[in-house]
Amino acid sequence: MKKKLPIHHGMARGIEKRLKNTGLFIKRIWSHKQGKIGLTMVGFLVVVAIFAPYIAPFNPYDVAERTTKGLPPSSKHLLGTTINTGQDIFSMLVYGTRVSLIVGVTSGICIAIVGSILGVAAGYIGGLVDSLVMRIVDIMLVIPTLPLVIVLTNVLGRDYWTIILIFVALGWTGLARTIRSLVLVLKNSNYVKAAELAGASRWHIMIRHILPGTSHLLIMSTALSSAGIMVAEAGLSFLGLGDPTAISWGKMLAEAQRGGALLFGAWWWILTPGIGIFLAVFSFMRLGIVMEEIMNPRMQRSSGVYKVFKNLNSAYVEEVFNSMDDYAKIGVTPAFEHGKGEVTHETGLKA
Amino acid sequence: MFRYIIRRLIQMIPLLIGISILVFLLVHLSPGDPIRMLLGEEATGEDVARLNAVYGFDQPLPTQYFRWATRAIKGDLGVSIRQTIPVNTLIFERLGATLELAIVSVLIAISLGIPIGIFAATRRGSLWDYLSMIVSLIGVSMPGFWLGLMLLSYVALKVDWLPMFGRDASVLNGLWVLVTQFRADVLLNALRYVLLPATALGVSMMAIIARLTRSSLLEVLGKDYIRTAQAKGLKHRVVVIKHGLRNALLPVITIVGIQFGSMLGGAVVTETVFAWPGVGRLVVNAISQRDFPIVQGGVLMMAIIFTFVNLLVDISYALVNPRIRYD
Repeated sequence: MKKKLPIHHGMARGIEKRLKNTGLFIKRIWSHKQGKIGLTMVGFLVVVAIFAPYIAPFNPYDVAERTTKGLPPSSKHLLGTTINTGQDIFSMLVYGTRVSLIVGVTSGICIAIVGSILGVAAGYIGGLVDSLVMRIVDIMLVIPTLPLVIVLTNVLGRDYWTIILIFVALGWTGLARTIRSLVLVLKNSNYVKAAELAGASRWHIMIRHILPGTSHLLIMSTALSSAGIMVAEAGLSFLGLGDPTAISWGKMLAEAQRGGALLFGAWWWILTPGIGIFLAVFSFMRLGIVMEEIMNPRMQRSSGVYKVFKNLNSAYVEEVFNSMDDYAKIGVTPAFEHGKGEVTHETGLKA
Repeated sequence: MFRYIIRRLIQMIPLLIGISILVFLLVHLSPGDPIRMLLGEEATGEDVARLNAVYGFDQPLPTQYFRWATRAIKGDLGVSIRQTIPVNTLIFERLGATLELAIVSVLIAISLGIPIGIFAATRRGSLWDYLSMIVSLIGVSMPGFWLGLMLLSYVALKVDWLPMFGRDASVLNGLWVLVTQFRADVLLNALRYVLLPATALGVSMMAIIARLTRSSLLEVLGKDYIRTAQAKGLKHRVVVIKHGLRNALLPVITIVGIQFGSMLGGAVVTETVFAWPGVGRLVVNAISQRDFPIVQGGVLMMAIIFTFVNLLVDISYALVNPRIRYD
C-alpha cells in the first residue's frame, strides 16, 4: 500500500502540471490577436449551446409550443416563426448550436485519436502495419466522400452518433498520413534512438516519445476538422440526410428552402442559420491556425495559413474540409507521399 | 515521364477494384429491397422473385459482383431499376452538367482568386491586403450551399435576367454555336443558368486560392533570385509575374486539381439548391430509391474521374516546376 503512494502523488502532480500547462496555453492563445477572436467566439458558442434552454424563449422540440405559422419577426418571436411548422426560428437557431458543436467537436476529437493511433503505428512499427494502413488510406482518399457518406447513412442509420462514426471513419485517413510522415522523421531522431538503446519498449517509445512530438498537429487537426465537419454536417442535413429528430442549422436551411422562405421574402430564416454555421466554422478555423502558430514556432506568422496547409499534407484537409461540400481542400499529390526519400514539398521533411 | 504515367495507371487498377468492391458491398448491404420498393405493397412474392431473377438479385453476392464488374470493364454499367434506362446513358447525360458546373466554378475561382492573391501580396500589410484576406477568410468559412440560397434570394429574385433553377443548353454547345454560326445567344443563355450555381460552388475555392497565392507569393518574393532580378533593373511587374508567380503557383495548382476532383462529388448540395441536373443528384436520388445500378455506377465513375484528375495534377506539377522529375 505504502509503495503505491508515490505513484499517486506523481500522477496527481502530473495532472496538476498538465492543468497548469493547459492554462498557460490558453493564455498564449488569448494574447494572440487572432486567437482572442477565435477563443471568444468559440466560448460564446459553447455558452449558447450549454444554456440553450435558458436563452431560447421557446422549446422548438416541444410541439405544444408551436404557434401561428409564418409570423414575421417581432419582440415575441425575434426571428418570426417557420412557415411550415410554426416553430420559433430564434429558438431553433439557439438549439441548433448544440448539434453543430457536438457533432463537430466529437468527430474532431475522435479523428485525432484514431488518426494518431494509426499514424504512429504505421510510422513507427512499419512493415505490414504500415502498408496495410497506407493502402486503406490510398483507397479511401480516391473515393468521392459525399456519395459514400450518403450510402453509409443508408446502411448504418441516421442518428447523430452514427453520423459522427461515419465522419470519423472517413476523416482519419489524411491525418494518419500526415502523422505517419512526421513519425518517420521523429523515429530517426537522436532522442528516440537513445530511448531504444536504453531498452525502452516500443509501446513506451510510441506513447512517451513519439506521440508528444505530434501533439501540435493533433491539436490543430482537432480544431480544423471540427470546423470542416460542421460544414459537412450542415450539408448533410440540408440534403435531408441528417438526424431526422434533431434541429440543426443545415436542416433549418433545408426547411426554409422547402417552406418557401424565398418566395415569402423571409430572408431572416435563410440568413441566420448560415451565419451560425459561418461563425462556428470561422472561429474553430481561427483557433486551429493560431494553435499551430503557437505550437510550431518555426512557422512564420505572415504565412500561417499557407504553412498549415503545407504541413497538413493535403489529404487530411482534403478529406475533412472538403468532405461534403465544396470546401477548402488542400492538396498534396500522392506521388510525393510514398516516394523514395525525396524531400516532400508539403512538409519539407524526408519521407 | 511516360513511364511514370504508365506506372500510375497500373497502380490505379487495384485501387479501382477495391473501390468497386466497397461500393458494391455498401449498396447491397443497405436495408430496403429495391424490387419491393418498385412494385409496392400489393406485389405478390412471386412477382418480386421473378423481377429479382431478371436483375440477378437472387444470385449470391460474389456472383453478382463478378457479373457487374466484368460488364463494367467492358463499359456497361447495367440498367437502372426505376427508369429502365442504361446507367451509362443516365450518367453521361448528367456528367456533362456536373463537369460544366465544376469547370465554370474553377474558372471563376482562378480568375478572381489569383489576381486577389497577387494584389494582396504586392501590397502586404496595407488596408487592401487586410481587407482581401478578411474577405477570403469569410469565403473559406462559408458553406457554399448557403451562399447559393442567399444568391437565390438576393440576386436571382431581383434580377430578371438570371434564372433561379435548372439548366438549359450546355456552355459547350453555346460555344459551338458561337464558333460555327456566329450567334452568341445560346452561349449567353447557357451562362445565365450556370453563373449563380458556379459562383456558389466556386467562392470557397476562390478564397483558398487567394490566400494561398498571397502567402506562397510572399514566400517566393523573399527569395534571393527575386532580389537578383530586381537588382538587374527589371520592372517590378515583370519580377512578380514572370519570376515570382511561376514558382508561387505550385501549391495553387495542386489545390485546383484536387478541389476539382472533389467538386464532382461535393457539388451535390449546390446542385440541390439550384436544381442542377448533375450526377451527384442522380446518385443521391438513386440511393433513396434503392436504384443499385445507378449508385454503383455513379460512385465508380466519380472515383475514376477523381483518380484521373489527381494524375493530371501530378503531371502538371512537373510541367510547372521543371525541378520535379518523376521516374
